[in-house]
Amino acid sequence: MAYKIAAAIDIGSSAVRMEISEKRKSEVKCLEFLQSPLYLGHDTFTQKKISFEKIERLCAILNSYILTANNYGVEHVETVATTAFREAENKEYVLDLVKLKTGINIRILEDPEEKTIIYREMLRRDEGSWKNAVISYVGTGSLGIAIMEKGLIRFTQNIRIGSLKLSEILEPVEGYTKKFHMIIEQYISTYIDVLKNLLTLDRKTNFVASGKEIDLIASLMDVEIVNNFFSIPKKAYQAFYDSIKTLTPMQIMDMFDLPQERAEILLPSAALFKILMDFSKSEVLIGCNIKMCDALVYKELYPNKFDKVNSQFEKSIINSAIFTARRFKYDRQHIAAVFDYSTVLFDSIREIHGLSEREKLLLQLACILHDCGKFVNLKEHYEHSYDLIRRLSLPGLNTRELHIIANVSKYHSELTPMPEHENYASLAAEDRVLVAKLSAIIRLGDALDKSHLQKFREIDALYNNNELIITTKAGGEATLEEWAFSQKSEFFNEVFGIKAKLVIERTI
Amino acid sequence: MDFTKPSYYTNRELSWLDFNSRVLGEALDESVPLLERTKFISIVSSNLDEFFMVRIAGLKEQMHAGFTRPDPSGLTPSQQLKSASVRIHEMVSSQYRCFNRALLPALHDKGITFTSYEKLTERQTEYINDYFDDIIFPVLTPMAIDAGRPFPFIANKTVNIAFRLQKETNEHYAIVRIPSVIPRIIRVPAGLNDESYLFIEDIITQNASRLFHGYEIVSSTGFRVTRDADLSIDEDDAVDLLSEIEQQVRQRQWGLPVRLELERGQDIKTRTFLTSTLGLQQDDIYLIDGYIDMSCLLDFSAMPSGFQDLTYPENPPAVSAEVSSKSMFDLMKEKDYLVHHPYQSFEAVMKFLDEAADDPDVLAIKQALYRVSGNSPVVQALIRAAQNGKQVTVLVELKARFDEENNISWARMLEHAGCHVVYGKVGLKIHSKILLVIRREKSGIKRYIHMGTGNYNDKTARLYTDFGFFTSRESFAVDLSSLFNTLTGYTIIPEMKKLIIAPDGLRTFFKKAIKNEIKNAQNGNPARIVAKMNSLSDPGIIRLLYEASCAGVEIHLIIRGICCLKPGIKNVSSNIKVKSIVGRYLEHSRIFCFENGGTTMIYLGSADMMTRNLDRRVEALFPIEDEKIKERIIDILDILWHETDKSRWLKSDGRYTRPGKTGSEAHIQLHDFSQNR
Repeated sequence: MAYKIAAAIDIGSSAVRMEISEKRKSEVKCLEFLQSPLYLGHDTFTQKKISFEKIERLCAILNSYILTANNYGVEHVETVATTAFREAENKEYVLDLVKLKTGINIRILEDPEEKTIIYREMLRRDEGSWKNAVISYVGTGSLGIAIMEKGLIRFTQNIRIGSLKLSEILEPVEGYTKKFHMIIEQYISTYIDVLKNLLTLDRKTNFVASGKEIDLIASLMDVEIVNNFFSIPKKAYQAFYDSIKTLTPMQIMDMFDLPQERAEILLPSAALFKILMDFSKSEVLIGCNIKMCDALVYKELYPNKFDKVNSQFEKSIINSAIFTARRFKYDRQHIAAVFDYSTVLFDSIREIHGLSEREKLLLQLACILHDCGKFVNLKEHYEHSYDLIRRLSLPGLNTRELHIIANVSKYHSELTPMPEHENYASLAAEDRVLVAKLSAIIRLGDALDKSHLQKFREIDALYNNNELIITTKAGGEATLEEWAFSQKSEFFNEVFGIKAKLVIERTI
Repeated sequence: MDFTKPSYYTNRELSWLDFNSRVLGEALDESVPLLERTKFISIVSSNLDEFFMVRIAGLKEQMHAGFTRPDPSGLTPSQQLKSASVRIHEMVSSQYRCFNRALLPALHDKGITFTSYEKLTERQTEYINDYFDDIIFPVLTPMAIDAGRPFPFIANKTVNIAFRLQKETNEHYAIVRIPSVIPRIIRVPAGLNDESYLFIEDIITQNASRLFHGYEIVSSTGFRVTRDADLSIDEDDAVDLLSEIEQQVRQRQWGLPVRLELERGQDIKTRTFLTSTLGLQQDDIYLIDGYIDMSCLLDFSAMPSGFQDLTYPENPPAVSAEVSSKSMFDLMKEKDYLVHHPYQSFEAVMKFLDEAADDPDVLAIKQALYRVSGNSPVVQALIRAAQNGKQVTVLVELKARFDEENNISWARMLEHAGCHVVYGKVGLKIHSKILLVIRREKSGIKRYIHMGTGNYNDKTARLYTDFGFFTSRESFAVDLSSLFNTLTGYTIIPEMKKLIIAPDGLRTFFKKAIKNEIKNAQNGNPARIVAKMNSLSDPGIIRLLYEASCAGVEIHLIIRGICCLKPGIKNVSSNIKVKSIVGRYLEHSRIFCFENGGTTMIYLGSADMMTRNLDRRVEALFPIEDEKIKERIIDILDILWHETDKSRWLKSDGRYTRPGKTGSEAHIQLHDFSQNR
């Protein structure tokens, strides 16, 4: 067939949405976009659970969506859920119930995953015009900020104050003060101020805002949207903000003819964008009209193009890992050496380990972050590395992947994986194998720069006859490396069933 | 300028009664074929029945609830009831006068005679008595009334005979219901060239002694009770709308009585007895000079055979060469296509549905049905489509008044066939006439659309003037898909690209469009509104039209039924002209045409300018963008505006006057105009 149709459902905190789109040559043609209000966030953020009524309603909505998708012959509908689901204590039961009643498997996106999907889609659409930017995405349940430098993301931060959440949290205060907006601003600033210490931004930095709240603000301000983008000058935004900041939700409802739910979250989200714009120092807000479903559907319709976009995005993941390592005062040359050596080793025994590109990325990230624990204490630094990495938030990685990186980092030096290690035992069986394999590689990579002196400029690795021969050149002695290599190759041998040999050619 | 003065408005009920008088006018019109005039007599009756069951019942409810707020014309519910009763009394006497003095003799002259039992020949009497014994008697149930047997329940709209009986010195009443399973009018075998008919109640009365052995029959009086029959469904609590409506339909016959029709006779005693027992006021009593319930004449008018000259000449609807020569998909891919029923055949719609049901590339069909005919080919096509594995979604409006029972039965059929049937929206009647077909084609998904001003009903498509519009424009498809999603699921309606949807956007659209004309008029640009609809009653819209008139907007309205606006009032509506057309076909199409500073906007659709259409129904208007079709509609409006024979002009005092006939009957012109389009 010359064309393809895909559908995706996004279960958000205030609505369920579905997009059905068709691939027409190089453009995506949206056939249908459905949106049904459903305030799951209200349940989760106040009761910590999704109520039975909402589950019933959700199932009814999903069943009607499936019917619509079937109208176009679409059988499989990728279905994702975000904050409201993620934070519900009863999410497991809900998933099961929904599966029973609708046949749909909901994939709950972790916060960074959700943001990644959005950032990646934004960067795809922007096609590289933002070099330096503060990118923000306000969902109803959470706020995501990404700082981009020279075309790559170097820092991301997710904060659990989305528009709806903010209004839920601050609701009790609202009645007490006329300066409610100041409370909101101060509350948000406590989060943003931390970032100021980490980053220095200048006027050349773009400020990009996305999420349906900024879309709403744009439509209230009568801003024209061209190809999913729009821009609002800072002065105009400030004027708009000033015109609504002292209004009550009721007054906002009347003024803009909005339903109550939307009116309630307008002020908190407007405040959020104001603070972020001030933080970015930019004179213009660039709005990006983007929906989760757009990104999901694109991936289905254009798998090849998506892979390209994704591999570009992986550069950003590495970039932000480096930025993180820098915050922990990393040894740049050592990290680079371990990164390069491990990469060569990984590539040389592809047929032995059978791992994917994504897993190679995990290895590389572990190479970058493996020593960050030294920032805490040199003694048992690998334990601290493990603890720190687990708590990091890197764009594009989910908890599982982060946990794998943490494990690999833990096993890069002294320890090897043991069933009695809780961190290791808690992994899924296939992940334990993965950790063992990646650890085996990083251990050799690390051994090759044991002295942190980068004695080898580069290495070659050739797998042949059950032997991995690593050849390299050294100007001087490399005894420490040779000793470390022989120590670490034992585990390598155990994991892969092959011998690793180090051959050093003396150049002098 | 204050446009809210009561004197600027006509009461909605009285305006409707005016409309029914215009229908009666067709019965009185000697240029109308005789059997058709008889049919109009019956339509006047069935119209009135509905009016009593819904409107009069509603006014009475308001009155009982102590509701005294006047309507825009300044009348309180009780004043409205009073005036309506006076009007209806006049109308009914005029209706029977027409039937008795004009139609009966004229029919007799043509060889069609309503006879009476006494006038039957011996052979005829024998035949009729046999008919009574074999057919009527077994289904009769006389109900006696005495101390031990209270007054029986008289079901809504049934014709009954009250007998006053005497045994020795005691007086009794007994009631016999005329069975509705037997035709009301019975053909009596007569000579070759004669058609002779008898009302069933004559036969029963004459044979009544067989029902009441041992009693002397003092008198017999035919009567009929009309009851409040508006469904009141608590949709919020209704778990299953389908069964809830089924139950309500059964309960309809239990509503409070709102009218008593009595044969005018000598027996004051029986009249007093019935009136007091039913608890009705003097105003609610209608003494009938003849047989009660003339709606039975509708069936009768089809009975005599061989009287072609007494009916309208056959006017077979046209099928264009384009429709018969190519597939509807190809036709719609090429261009937008408009059919004007009944001048053009409903076949185009059926062909589209049939092709969709059988085409292997069609994935899905979605349709909203309001009223369909019995054994409807539309329903058949949908069932076949479902059997062919298509995804068929049907929106059934169960609340279509007085069609509920009918709708429930075929809704069940559709469900059994595997269609996905959705029963309307809580609080909103789905009145829009919409059909969407999703087809997989080489270049991708293509969606085909039909939207109309009338129901998907092949039978009424021969009697009602309506438009059907076919298109495959993408922007329409996107809007219509969203509308269907909202109606069948739980989605919100996104911003529409082309369609205007009630209840969300219709009122706003009318406001904007009228204000736009006002602005143009004020700036000295051409400003004009030409609209055709069934009813105009929404006070908000009327005020806007007055405003527009004062600003100099020229406004031409063709309104078949209710019109609460008064045209031609100095400084209020001097630029507004209103006419009504009532004739062979029921004018049903809705056209809204705005000058828009020179680039005329034309919208067709399902909505009238009534508050219920704007606020409580799901209606769809759609723009006509094809220039040729636009021109055609403007021409049609022009023909209707200049037709004289079936037109009545509304005057500033709220009365309708007929212009002199010039032989320009619109439907004849339009029939010619619609050939090969």
